[in-house]
Amino acid sequence: MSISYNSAVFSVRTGQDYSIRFLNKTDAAGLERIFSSTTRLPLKSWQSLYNSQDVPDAGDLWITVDGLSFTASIDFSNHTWTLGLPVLPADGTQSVVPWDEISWPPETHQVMMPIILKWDNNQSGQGSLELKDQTLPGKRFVVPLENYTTSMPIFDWPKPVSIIASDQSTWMKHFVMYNESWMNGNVTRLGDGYSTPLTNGSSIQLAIPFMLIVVICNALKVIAMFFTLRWSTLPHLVTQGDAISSFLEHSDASTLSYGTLDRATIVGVSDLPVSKRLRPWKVESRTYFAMLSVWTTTALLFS
Amino acid sequence: MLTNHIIITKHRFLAGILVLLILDNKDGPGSFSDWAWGSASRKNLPIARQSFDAKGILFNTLLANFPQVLLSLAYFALNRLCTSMCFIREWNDHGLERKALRVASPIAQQRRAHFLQLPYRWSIPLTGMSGVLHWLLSQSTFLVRLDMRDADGNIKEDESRSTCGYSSLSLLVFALSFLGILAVVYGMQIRSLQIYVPPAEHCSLVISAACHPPPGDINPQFKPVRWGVVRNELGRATKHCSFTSENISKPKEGVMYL
Repeated sequence: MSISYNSAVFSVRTGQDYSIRFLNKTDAAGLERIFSSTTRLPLKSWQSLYNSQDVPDAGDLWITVDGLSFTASIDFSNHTWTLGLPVLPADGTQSVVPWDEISWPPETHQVMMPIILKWDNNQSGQGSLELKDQTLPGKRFVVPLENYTTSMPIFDWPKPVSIIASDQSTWMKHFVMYNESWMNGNVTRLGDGYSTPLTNGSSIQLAIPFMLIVVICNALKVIAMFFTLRWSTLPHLVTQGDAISSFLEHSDASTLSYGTLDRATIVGVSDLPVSKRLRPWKVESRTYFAMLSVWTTTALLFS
Repeated sequence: MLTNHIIITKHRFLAGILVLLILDNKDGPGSFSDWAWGSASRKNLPIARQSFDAKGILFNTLLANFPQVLLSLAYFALNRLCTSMCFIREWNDHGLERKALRVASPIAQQRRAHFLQLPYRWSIPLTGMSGVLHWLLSQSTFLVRLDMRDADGNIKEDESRSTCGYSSLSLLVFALSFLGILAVVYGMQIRSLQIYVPPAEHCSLVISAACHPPPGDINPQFKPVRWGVVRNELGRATKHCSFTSENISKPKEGVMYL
């Protein structure tokens, strides 16, 4: 029964296959639908939840992107803008140069510099870059980014998510569509995740065969107890008091001379004449260990 | 000495469990951040069968629940130990004060035996402790069914399986609780007891030797009795010690008694 009762009720874990998708801020209706039907999870939470190929109690994952890093080749002489090869931050944001550290005016007219494009402030395809002039406070250059689209295909993202977003960095490489051609290796900063809840998640279930074994074993125990108590003519329980009572009623003359001896001493002197069996009474203390019976010690050994 | 050795061996065994838990959690799926209570843990025993058929489920059931059988045996031993301690105490107290005997079917002034041989102040904590340990163990290793579902929510039969899950956190709490209980029992066992009646150690020979009341003591078993030096009615040179319902005197150190 010990084997069965713990398995009569068992847990069923659901490992749900899932897809990783990215939120497109231009699709207002789609965003509204996702926000209302999913569970918002902070960055660390969804990364730890989606750390395996199959996740418990959750379906598809929608990830927001709140930052984009890439390198721009900027020719300030004629204001012709092109996007250059991206630079992967080695450890998150540290390798991304903040606006304030970009020297102005540039020593050359053409520089390669990493830029953060704040996703929240830009619309896909209609984005813009804003450059501050350090020498002329208040002067800003707004650089339009036309025909710029990020596209994150949903079918080829590796799983689990921990592969693409580690605990140390919230940045990941991705693909950017620019002027109808793919650019590899741009870097995106991940934000909150939106997890699709499952209707058939993990649960507790009964195992009928094991439950039957437990019920039958318990029924047998009850029947055995009932028959024992109802029809057995033997004393149900023999206690130390019963033993003393019995010996007081029917004294055993052969043990008369052992009155102050313990078990070990009795065994040692049983072959001696009565006059040599006696031992002087000694006041002493013993530990409980020293007074355990052989059977108790044996039971401990087996346990 | 043997019992001491057994207890020490158990401590080493449980210390081994703790070391295993720590080594197990160096990295990977068993990292410390992966510690979850009970069946919330997603760890599986590597020796468990990853199959969904009856043989695999039975094997995993045995694997998950065999420790329960061992714990039951350990509880029997612990119960036996505590019963023996109560026996020792009750027996010895008869040399200290006059008490009616505790018997299964009391007559006259006799007292009814404790339910299941143990006073409630022992049996209730023991039963509670047993229940808690069994529950902790059930949270430590357990049968798990893994239903793998595709993106549409349909069960993938070929990938679904049963296995034996375990929780490091539950196992750690169980091991610490078990160690704590062992420490308490060990502490109780090494306490000293002043001997007032020769220890019986469940030996009927000793019990019989302590039950030779003087001839004039009629039916002492139905009255409160005490062990000590009884009235020397037969005028023997050597006095005698026994349970009796009559007045007794304490045995004197260095004096021999029958």
